[in-house]
Formats: sequence, structure tokens, C-alpha cells
Amino acid sequence: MTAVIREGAYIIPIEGPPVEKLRRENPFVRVVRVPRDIYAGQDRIFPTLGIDMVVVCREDLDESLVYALTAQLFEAFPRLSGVEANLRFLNLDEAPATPIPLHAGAARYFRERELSR
Amino acid sequence: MLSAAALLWIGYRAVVEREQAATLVATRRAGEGAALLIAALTRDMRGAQQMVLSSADRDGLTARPPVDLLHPIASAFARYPYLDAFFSWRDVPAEESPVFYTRAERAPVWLSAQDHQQLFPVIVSSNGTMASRLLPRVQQDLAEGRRFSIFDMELGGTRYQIVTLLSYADTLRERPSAIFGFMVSLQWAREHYFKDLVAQAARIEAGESAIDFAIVDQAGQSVVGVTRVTANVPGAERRFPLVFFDPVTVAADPPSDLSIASWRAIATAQHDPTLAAADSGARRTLALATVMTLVLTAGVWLSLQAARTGARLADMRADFISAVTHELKTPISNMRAIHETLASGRTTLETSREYGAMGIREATRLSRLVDNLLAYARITDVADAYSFEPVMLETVVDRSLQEFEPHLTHEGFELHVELPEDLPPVKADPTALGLMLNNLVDNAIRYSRGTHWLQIAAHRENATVVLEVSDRGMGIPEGEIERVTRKFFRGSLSNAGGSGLGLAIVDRIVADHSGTLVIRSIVGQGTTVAVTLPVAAETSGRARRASQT
Repeated sequence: MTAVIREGAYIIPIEGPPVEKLRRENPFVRVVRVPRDIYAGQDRIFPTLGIDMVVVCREDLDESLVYALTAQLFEAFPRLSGVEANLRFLNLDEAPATPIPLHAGAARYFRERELSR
Repeated sequence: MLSAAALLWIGYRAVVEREQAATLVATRRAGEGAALLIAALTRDMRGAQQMVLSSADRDGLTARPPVDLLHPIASAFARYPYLDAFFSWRDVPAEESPVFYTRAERAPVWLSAQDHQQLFPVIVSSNGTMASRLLPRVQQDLAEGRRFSIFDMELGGTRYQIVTLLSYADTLRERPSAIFGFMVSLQWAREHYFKDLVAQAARIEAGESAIDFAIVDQAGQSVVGVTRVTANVPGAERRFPLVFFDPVTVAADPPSDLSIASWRAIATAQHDPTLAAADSGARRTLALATVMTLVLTAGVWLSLQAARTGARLADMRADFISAVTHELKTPISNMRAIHETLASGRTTLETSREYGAMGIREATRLSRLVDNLLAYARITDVADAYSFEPVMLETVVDRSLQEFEPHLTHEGFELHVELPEDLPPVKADPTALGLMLNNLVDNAIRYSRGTHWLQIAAHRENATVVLEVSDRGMGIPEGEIERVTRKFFRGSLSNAGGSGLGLAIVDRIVADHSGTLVIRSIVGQGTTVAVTLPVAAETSGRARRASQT
């Protein structure tokens, strides 16, 4: 991306009524604000569209296995965010808001996390 | 016995106190369990109001297009299962109606079918009917400038508790700008929410203690679980209001259309491992204490019996030694005195004869005592030394009277001998029979006291001969008759000397002759000893056996 910008490309903000229409029809599309200085020469915050990172599994996967996987993933986040920059912006409270239905194992994990707060 | 009782008491107290301690621990655990459940319940039930509504307001989401609320609502649905739907309404610009956000997986009955066709967990829709019911009620609170609009309402056949955050464009709360609220189906919560929450709370707490949880509504009906706190089941109860918001919000001015029911959370420690351990420990301790007490009691009783018997035997032996010593020494010292007198040469012929007769009496007495001692040792050790033969009682009586003649004459006895001429001979050992009769006569003389009267009588009774020796002496107390035939026993009235062996020897000889011994006595009137012996022609089994050896 940085190389492309260096060669003359530039970033344009995506916003306005068409975006609202798109989001109404596709609720999983989100408005994202790219922070300043993420890309070379980017001197201001600009709005764009984004979608969530989602871990997807088959519906018939064992509930306790999915529960254990979800628990392991969330335990690993503090370490993973040091490796993968995008994870720094993750809002753990909104993590259960997946664009497709939660697997029963993951739902159980989020519920127990809520009760154990 | 005291120590046994003390042991049992200490064991019992230890068990009771241990059980009380275990019950206290279990009750405290149950109390902690109930407190934890209440804490989890209240925090969770207030979570949607405190976390979702407040954050949306803080982040300015209530003033933004409905689509911006989708993700917080999807997250809220995953975190708080009691939420059935959210709704929002913005005054600027005046949109058509409130927007409803419902669960995709648990769509309410009032949602139209075409709205279901999507995977996203939140379904956005508008519903004019619902809005026309809901909005006027909320607007009352908006008009009053309230921060929250909280009430119960029946919508589409379901009773909801509705919690709404009200936003205003001005600080005086005169210009409403937006509302954002949620709806909780009280029926669904009753049927599912509490059951799931109790199961999840128990799973989170699992492993520490076995606590059973139950939830009971305001009417006492069970919502979750069936356990009850009774005298035997340690447990605790806590009350909580059935509200999905912080009750402080409406504490000052509660709305008339909101009913706050008071429910109870109950925790019981019926299956607490401490209790079970205390129970089994109590049973073991009590069983052990009981067994130990029984063993101790039996041991104490046996020791007491042994000590009593030993003491009695020692007393009897001491009496025997002293009696025998006295019996042996008296004739010896008498004979010594007689011989000293004779040796002094100061006696006449007349007195010498008298002293000689006295010497014979003393020698006879000494000889009888030695005979008795030897006989007792002999007949108790070698019972088969008898030599049975037909014996005429007359001969034995004559011999015995001859032996006692000096005594009887000297003490002036009135003597009656009644022996029928046709008395058949008895099967007996002559020496033993003589010893038996001597002892009976000796006793009669010894215990005669004032009335010197002696009768020896015999008669036939079927195949036996009954020999009776009677006196009119001091008699034997009724309680002692049974014991006078025991060796070393001397009656309580006895102070006439004697070894305590006489009647024991008689009893033994009679038994060895297959006979019977009956003693009849009245204190102060006299004693009759009746000995039954088989006649010679009809020898008993025992006598035959004895004679064959």
C-alpha cells in the first residue's frame, strides 16, 4: 500500500448516503476510521468501509471444542496483538457481535465471560 | 461404669459438635453461594441498562442512524440473553417511527415473516402497531423530563418489562432528541433465563462445594430447582427484585404501571462433602464408642466379679486356716495339760482315770479332724476309691455313737435312736458312710447349745433308706441352708469352731452314693439332716460304675 502511494496513488474517504444505503442492506459492513499516519503521507483521519475479522466454523462442530477454541483465542489476544497490528483495534466487548449467528460453544463462552466479570 | 458412661458421653458430644460444626460450615458455604448467585443475578440483570444503554448514550450512538446501533445491539444480545428487543427513535430529523431491533434466532411473534430472511443476528424493522402503543407511554416520561422511562406493558400478547434511556437536546430536558431502550419478555425470562443462569453460575463455581441453587417467585412457586431450606438441610436465602435495571433509577418516583416482584434465591448445602464426611465420621465414631463402652463395661463387670470371688475365697480360706488351727491346737493343748497334771504325780487313781478319759476324748476329737481333712482331700481327688458293699445302718450308727459316747455322756445328751429292725442294708462304702454320720453327729453336738438332744432315725421309703439326724440346737438361717454344703462355708451363727468341711464332705459322699441330702432347719428350734441312700439290692448306675473300677 505504501509503495502504491509513493508511486502517485492517493486515498479517498468513503462516506455519504450511498454508504448508509449499503450498510442498511448489509449490516456487517462497518464504517471504519483509518487513524492518522497509518500510510505514508496520510496526514488526516479518513472514513472508509470495513468488515470484521470472523473465525468461522461448521455449525455441527462439537460445542465444548468450540468453547475451548474461543477461550484459547481470547486468552491469546494480548500476545497476538503484539504480532498483528490490526488486533490492537479490537473491541472485546463487541466481539460477540458477529455478522453470522454465534456457534453454541462460542455463545456459552461469551455468556460465562459476562457472568465472571 | 462411670468411665464407660464418660467415654460414651464424650464420644456423643464429639460427634454432635462435629456435626454442628459441619452444618455451620455448610450453612456458611450455602450463604456464600446464595450471595454469589445474587451478585451474579443482579449484576447481570442490570447489565443491559448500565453497559449497553449508557455506553450508547456516552458514544452518541442514540443520535446517529439506526445502522450504527447494530453492532452494540448484536453484542448485547450475545452478552445478555434476557434481552428480547431494542428500539430507538430519533426526533431529528423526525423519522417515520421507532425502529425495532430483534433477535434473529428468537424473533418475537409480532415480527412479520419477511423480516427473518438474513443471517445477521439482529433484525431491523419498524412496526406501526407496536410503536403506537409504546411511544405515547415513553412520551409521558419525556414530557416530565425523566432520564429513564421504565414500565411493564403487554405487547403482542407478551408481557414485557421496558427500560428506555431518554436523551434531550438541552440541559433542561425540555427538547427530547432520542430514545433508546430494550424489552424483556417476563415469561421467557421465567422459563429460560434463570434456569440457564443458575446452571452457568453453578458450572463456574463447580468443584468447590456441592451447593444446590433454587429460585422461587413472589408467590412461593419454584422457578428453578426444588430444594428447600429445612431444619435438616443447611442453606441460605436472599431476596432480589425481579427488575432488569438498577432499582435506584425509579426509587424516588416509581411508575404506577411497573410492578416490582420480590423473588428469592435459595442455596442449600445438602450434598456438601463436609456434611457427608461429618455424617459418616459421626456414624463410625458412635459405633466405635459404643463397642468400646460395651467392651469396657463387660471388662469392668468381669473384673468386679473376679475380685469379689477372689475376696470371698480369700476370706473363706483365712477362716478355714484359723478354724483348723484352733481345732488342732485345742485338743493338743488340752492333752498337754492332762499329761502335765499326770506327770506331776499329784493325782489320785480316781482323778488319773478321769484325766485318761479326757485325754481319750481329746485324742478322738483330734483324730476326727485329721480324718476329715484327709477324707476331704481323698474323696475330692479320688472319687473312685470307694468300695461299695451292703452295709447295715445299725452297725454304722453303733460305731459312731460309740466313738462319740464320751462326748455325749460328758455333756449329758438325751439320745434317741430309732432304727426299725427290718431296715434293709444300703449300698455304701462303710468307711465313707461312717465318716458321713460322724460329721452329722459332730455337727449336732457342736451346735446344740442349751438343749442337748440328739435323734438318729431311719426308715425305708420305696427303694431307699432315709437316715435322719436331728438336734434341737441353734438352727441355720434359711438363706444359708443352700450354702452350708460348700467347702469352707461356716454359718453366720457359728462360733462353735469347726473347719467348714463337715457338710461339704457329707454332700460329696451322699452324691457319690447316688443319694440325696435335705436339710430342714428353723433358727432356735433345731436342724434335721435327711440323707436318702439306695438299698443294697437296687444299686444305682453311679455306684455300679464306681464299684467296677
